[in-house]
Amino acid sequence: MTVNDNSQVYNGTMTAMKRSADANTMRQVSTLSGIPVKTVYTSEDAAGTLPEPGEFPYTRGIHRTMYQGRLWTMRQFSGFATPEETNARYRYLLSQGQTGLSVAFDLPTLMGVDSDHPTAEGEVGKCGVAISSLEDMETLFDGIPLGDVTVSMTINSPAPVLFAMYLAVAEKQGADWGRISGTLQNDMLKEYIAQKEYLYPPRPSMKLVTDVIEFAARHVPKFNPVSISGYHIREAGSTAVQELAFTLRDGIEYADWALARGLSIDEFAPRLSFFFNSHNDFF
Amino acid sequence: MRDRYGAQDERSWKLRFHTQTAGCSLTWQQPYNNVIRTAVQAMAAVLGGTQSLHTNSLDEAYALPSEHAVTLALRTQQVIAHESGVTATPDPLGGSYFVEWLTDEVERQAWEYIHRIDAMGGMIPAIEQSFPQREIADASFRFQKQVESGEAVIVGVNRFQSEEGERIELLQVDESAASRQRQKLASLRARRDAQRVAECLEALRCAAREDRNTMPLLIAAVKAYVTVGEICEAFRDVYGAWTETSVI
Repeated sequence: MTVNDNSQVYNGTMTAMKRSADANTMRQVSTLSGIPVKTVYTSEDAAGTLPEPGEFPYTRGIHRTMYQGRLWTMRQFSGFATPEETNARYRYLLSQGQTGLSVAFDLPTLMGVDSDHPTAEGEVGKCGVAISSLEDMETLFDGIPLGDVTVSMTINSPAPVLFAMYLAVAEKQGADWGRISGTLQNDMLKEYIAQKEYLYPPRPSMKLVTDVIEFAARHVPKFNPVSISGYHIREAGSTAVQELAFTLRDGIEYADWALARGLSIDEFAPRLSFFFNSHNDFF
Repeated sequence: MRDRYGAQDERSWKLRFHTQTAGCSLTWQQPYNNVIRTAVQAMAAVLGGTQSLHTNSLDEAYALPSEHAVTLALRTQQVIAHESGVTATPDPLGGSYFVEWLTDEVERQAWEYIHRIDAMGGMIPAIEQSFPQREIADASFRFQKQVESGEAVIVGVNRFQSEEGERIELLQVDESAASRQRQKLASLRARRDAQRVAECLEALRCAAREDRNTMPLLIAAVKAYVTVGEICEAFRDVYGAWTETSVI
């Protein structure tokens, strides 16, 4: 062994030691959203007392018994091709124990474009189901009793139109508007913020959203007329804090507009629902 | 709701929410890893007290989910609900030093944003000034940098890559769907009462101009088989279109 060889071994060991020191300092020191995380948390970090589950401000959940009382709704978002094919998928999902439906519309429908319009070419039925007329909506829910199943519809710019179709189908099925329940996404603010599927300027869009909130509060009281969504904000690359903050501030905006319309806060606030993203970082 | 608006009804104070696992976390590479990611994310949503949940299917980075993939996603929820024990008691993580600290920290930072937007005059002026758009673009850029540098690890993408691709079966959307839709629509347009359609559209334009609630007229219009595209076009006649300047 030469001196030169020895020095190589020595250098190799040093590199290994340096690497292991790096591994310690390179551990994840912040959440996925960039909030720094300390090495250890103790009772001093969480000093306040918590409310009971089901007590204001509901830090521990909105119900006293949470999932002991009732499980969450298992709601797989689905829709593809024509209303006939999606209808068959819905019947399959319900037969497999799914407890609610969630409609995915194709891009032309989301953009308020009919299936036979030139700009719809190549996109019809691709990312969801194509719905252009009430006839399509009747086929979509054929044999699915809207009085018993809750349906969520992910639609925004044309949401008032699709909601009108839903109500018309329910009426034809003999389902009472006072009983039907479900959720319309109808959240235009996050379209301008993140998803970008808007048609009109923000203020007319807000007017149409408010039309739905007002109509639902008066005629379809168990339906959630807006699902204030952080999901798309997070998908656009936001942090968890931005998702939460912008979504809650959007909720404030909808509430302000509904109040300006003459509704009282308790007429519509119980039916404002929210939609969040659950990302890789467990906490 | 209680403090800002003086809501009296306890139901107004409660935030009910739906959760979806993160579509943007799914990867093309090693698609079965997506099943694990989705299970972890779904567990987090349940521990967070969600009222409703969608679990992504493993193939959603490629296409709409196949029946096999969507069933597996549903089973993921059923295992969490019926086997994992996390539903046995409300908020089982309540009192965790770290969770409670993080909850307070996220709340504090969220309030800072809300107060900033209040100061800008609300969300619409904030959007018009591209404020939330720019904040998100900055965060997204920072994360992309971390992925590129390897500081943020994505299993199977920037670490633990494998040579061999995993094969999954994808849903094939029948190519004839579009032509069947077009035919149905053509037949509907020929059958319906064209006069009534024109009247409904004119009534909608008037309501939009006069700032009346459009819902009753929309219900009448769809019953007359006026289409989504025709109605959106009528509103655009009154409201105009919207384009924004890029924030990047």
